Amino acid sequence: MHIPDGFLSPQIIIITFAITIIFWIIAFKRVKGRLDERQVPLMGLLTALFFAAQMMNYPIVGGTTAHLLGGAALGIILGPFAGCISMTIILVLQAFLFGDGGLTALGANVLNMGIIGVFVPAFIVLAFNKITKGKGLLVWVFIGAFAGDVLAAIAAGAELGFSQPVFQYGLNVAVPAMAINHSVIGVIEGVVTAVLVGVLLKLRPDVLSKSSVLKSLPAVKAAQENTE
Amino acid sequence: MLNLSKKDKQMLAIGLTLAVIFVIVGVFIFAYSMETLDRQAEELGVQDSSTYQAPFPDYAILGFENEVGNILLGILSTLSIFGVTLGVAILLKKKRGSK
Repeated sequence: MHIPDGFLSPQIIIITFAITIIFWIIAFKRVKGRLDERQVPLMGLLTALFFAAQMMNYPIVGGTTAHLLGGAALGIILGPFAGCISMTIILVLQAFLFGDGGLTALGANVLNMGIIGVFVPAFIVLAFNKITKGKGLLVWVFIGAFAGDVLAAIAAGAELGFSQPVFQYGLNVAVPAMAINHSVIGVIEGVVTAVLVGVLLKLRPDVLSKSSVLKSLPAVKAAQENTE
Repeated sequence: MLNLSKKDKQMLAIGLTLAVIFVIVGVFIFAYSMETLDRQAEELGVQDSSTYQAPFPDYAILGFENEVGNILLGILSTLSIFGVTLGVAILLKKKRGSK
């Protein structure tokens, strides 16, 4: 889903960078001085893990491939602001070291994968946690991760569609193609994210106690009380 | 700077081993990449117009483009990302004693 240089119009480049820079400022302000010591190794680990996971390209439909994004897991487990910073680190290093995603498209790529792909799953899980009091959590994690991937793909398709004539396919072609193909990887993302959250809830609920998305869960609260 | 419990160290060991496995699987099994965007660009004849030359284009070491080189680069870059993120997280972390 990494958009290279030369695919976006100057207007879309400016708009996506402007939105992304606003989110970067808010994210750094929200996280600075608030990241718990227990989240530090987890943030490093999850960022490295999903950077590596993005190297696996799964065959999806019509001979195309897609890779996991990881934004859902980062947003749900670390909280969306720290998750946005983690995904930004991945995308910046991918662009500068490997030419994966263009430098002029960095704003768009962070907006799609580091903001939409992170905040959407986090808010879906947070909202349904409040309504259902944690019941069916992993189902909501799956739905959140799926929605995050598909909406990130739709955003990428829209940015390309609005970039006509630089990118000749309009919204009617770019958006459905991105959305349909990425709904397949969205299912895989949903399963992987649900498994990861499930394993952490079982084995290390204490490291989830500082996640703004999961801290209200009874198992996480109990683990937090035990460590204090 | 960073106090790691035994459980944290175990989590890091398991997680980083998993990351290395992802790199190896990515190089040997799921290496072929033709994303939707690549396919559309091919159909339209749109090309990457970047003037910036990345040091490791397509996740390969120039002149050493084989599985071993790709795995080495994959592992080193995964560890680098781990180190960079850890550094950023330490800078952002709560100061001791603060609420």
